[in-house]
Amino acid sequence: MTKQELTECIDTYGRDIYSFCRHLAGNIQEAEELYQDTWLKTVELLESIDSTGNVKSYCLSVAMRIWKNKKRKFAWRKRIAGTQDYLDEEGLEYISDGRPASEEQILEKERDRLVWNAVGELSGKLKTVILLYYMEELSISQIAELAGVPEGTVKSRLYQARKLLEQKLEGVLYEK
Amino acid sequence: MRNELDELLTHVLTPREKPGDILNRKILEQVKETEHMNQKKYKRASAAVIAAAVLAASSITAVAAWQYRSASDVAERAGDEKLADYFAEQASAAGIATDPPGVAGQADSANIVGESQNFGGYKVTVLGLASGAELSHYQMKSGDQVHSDRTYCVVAIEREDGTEMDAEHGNFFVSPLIGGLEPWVYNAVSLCGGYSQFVEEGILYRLLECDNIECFADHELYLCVSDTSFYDSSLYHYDETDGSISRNTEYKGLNALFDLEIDAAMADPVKAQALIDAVNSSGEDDGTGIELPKETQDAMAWAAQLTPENLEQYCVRMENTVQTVTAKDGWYVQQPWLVNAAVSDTRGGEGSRIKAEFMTESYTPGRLYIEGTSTSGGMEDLVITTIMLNEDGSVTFAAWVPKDVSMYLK
Repeated sequence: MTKQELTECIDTYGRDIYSFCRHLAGNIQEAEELYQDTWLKTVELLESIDSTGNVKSYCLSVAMRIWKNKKRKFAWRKRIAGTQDYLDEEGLEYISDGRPASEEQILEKERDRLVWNAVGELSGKLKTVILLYYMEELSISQIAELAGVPEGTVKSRLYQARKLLEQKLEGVLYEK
Repeated sequence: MRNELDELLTHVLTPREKPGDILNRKILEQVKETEHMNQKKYKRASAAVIAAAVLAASSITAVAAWQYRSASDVAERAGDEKLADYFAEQASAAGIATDPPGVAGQADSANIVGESQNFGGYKVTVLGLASGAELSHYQMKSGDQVHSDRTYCVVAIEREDGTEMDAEHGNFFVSPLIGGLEPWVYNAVSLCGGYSQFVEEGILYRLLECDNIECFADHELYLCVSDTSFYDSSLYHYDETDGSISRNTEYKGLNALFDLEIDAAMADPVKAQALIDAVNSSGEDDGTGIELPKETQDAMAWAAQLTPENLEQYCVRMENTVQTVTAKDGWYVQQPWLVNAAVSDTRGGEGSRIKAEFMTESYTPGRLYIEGTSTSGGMEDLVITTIMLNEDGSVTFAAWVPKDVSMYLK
């Protein structure tokens, strides 16, 4: 991959990959490390960019693998403590751009926070499927290929995740 | 409701968070500016340098290091005169001149001071090593805790072919490592480390500090220097059987590893255990700065003490949970309520299964691995699971509970 290709890829997919890393990792520091490692690994693995290939999917799969390995290393401590994936406020500041927030914006922000918390509380596999489906807009078959599981498994995880989110977000959904 | 949920998720989860420009620039900087950059980790060198590298592969030499700034100078440049004075005193005690610039040695750990290693087109020279309390003007704080008992290390990193180091170059990881403790967990980062660095005449000088490692003097101690931002397990081998750490000689980049020989009399097992505990508990906030509840910390500390040898002393095995599973049966175990948190996050209709890849890639056959999980985070529902990868590739799973929880609950 040439520097020019990498620059173009980061320009095109940087936001998507970063958002995925941000919410997979749960905090900015780890997300930035994951994002950085993802691109470095992608560069290492890809001789050149095939314009017909799906670079975004490729990067997402690299990010997933790196995150999985990282999690594995700290599995002991994570398990003892229970899941500690938090979303800090910093990650939710995109609504605020320096202007005073209107009531509507405050409500929206609170709704988004509830949604993110609910997604963040999902188990790793369910959360990954939700992020790939809704955030990255991948199809069931793409997710299956990327995660290395049958499509039926993806559907099942999506179903479970939706059910759980429906329960957790009941208040938000009825308010709408 | 399904459609509303879809709309809500699509709307809220739309990627909005942009990576910072600095972060993107950092990535580009790290990737070599060559037409084909896929050999990023393989530092390229001229033909002449390659020839020299073949002759001097893995060279480890003690050099006359007068051409470098002294450790005292480096500390002074970092604005730490107290530490600079200490290094100068140590150099003086070791009979090493510092004017003109020389190597500040230290009586108790001078063995590697002045030693150089050449790997991946880089030459790394250790210029100073010092440990002790109150050696610096500055104190590291994490939360409410002040870290004043520290280890300091000064290294010079330069390119073998003489090209100058970039003043902004920060992509190196310098850290002490401790034999018997997983290097990816216990390193400068988890030991509350920090560093400052500068480039002078094309040589990068880095002053690293972290919690004092002298208390681990009864372990093998190492100093690693690599061309990565953080500890990278692919660069070093950790032998779980004897706890030794060694270089991955297949790696083409920089993965220097110096042996530190600190006087074993400096070992302090109580202090060492306190540092281990601190690392274990500090990792739990996951970088969020959110402190775990005391009952969770207590449960973690208690569970962390369990070993294959003392497990039966403190826990009772629930015989009906013992089962051996294989890839053929999909790694499924019969107690999903136990497995969920411990070794799998597969839930609901799929049942529960042990992560096959987790077992086969990371585990040593025949060794018992102990894990703990607690839904509440406290001792009252702490369940210990043990997993063993058998020689035939199957995995034996069992769940245990503490013998008398009441004695741990206050």
